[in-house]
Amino acid sequence: MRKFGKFFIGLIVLLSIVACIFYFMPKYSAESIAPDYTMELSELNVAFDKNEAAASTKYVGKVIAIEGVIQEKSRDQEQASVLLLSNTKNGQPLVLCTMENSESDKVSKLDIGDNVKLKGQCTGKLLEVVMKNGILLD
Amino acid sequence: MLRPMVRCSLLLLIIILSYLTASGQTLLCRTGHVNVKSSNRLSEIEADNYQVQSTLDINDGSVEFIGLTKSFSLESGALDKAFNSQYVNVNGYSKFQFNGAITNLEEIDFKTHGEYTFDVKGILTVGEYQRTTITSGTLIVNKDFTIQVYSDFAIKIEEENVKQINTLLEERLGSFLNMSSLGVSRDIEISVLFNYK
Repeated sequence: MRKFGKFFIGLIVLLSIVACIFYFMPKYSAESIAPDYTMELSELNVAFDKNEAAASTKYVGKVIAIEGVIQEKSRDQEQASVLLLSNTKNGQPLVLCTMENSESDKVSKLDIGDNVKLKGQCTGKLLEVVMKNGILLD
Repeated sequence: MLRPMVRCSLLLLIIILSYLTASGQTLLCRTGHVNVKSSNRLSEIEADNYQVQSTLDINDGSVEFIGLTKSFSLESGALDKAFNSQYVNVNGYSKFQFNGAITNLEEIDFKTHGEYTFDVKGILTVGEYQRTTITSGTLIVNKDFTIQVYSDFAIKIEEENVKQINTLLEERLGSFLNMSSLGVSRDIEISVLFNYK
């Protein structure tokens, strides 16, 4: 009976450890992922405008490297930096990218009108093509 | 000869001004937050989406929000990694959308700073599923006349839909997972928060 009790406690401890590892495992990050595609902002937008279903199948979930001009810089409700990119400073916004928290310092040094290269995971298109887990590229 | 031209110009000016005034009444939020909670027999599943875009028309009270399924991040690191892997495809369920209107618009003064309670009715669409949703929430008119809106509501989905969702999860995540334990339950809690400007 005592052996059974020890086994039961051991099992609970083991399951708790596994649950903790499972829960606190680091979340998805695009940092170590090589871009699947390198594209122009307008090329990516046109792909979604022409055939959203086909573009979703091809690009959603993939890491894409892009280059554009910062049109707006803000923070979302989780205080992550959000960049709105266009081809020109006053052009139509083409990509919205939420940056990873590790990029905060680098993003804070950027200004509106700056040209940036970044990679991020494409999640689809709303008003603009939306990307998350953005990482600045040199 | 000059008078008709002046009249035309004035008319054109009035049309342009009225268009600008009217279009200026639709407020936009590009980075709204939607939090979704569901539980199964083993644990609670929680997911956040901070890239939800929404518009609020303060003239007629119409509210819309639209978000992308892949923009969600899950609380559990392991589930988040699995969800964001390229192997989980969300084709057919790539977006969710709400189209509705505030039903007690006369009780809200968008020109006066303060906190108001609003009622809203609309259609929540996820993939091919549509559900009439009625809820209430809080609307804050800030001093700079930007607007914050938040609402918490729960939906109970039909047993048939739970089976369909769990079957779908099994198909997309892998049949080695036991969805009777790991799938979603009928009760889903949703919180939304939008900052309009």
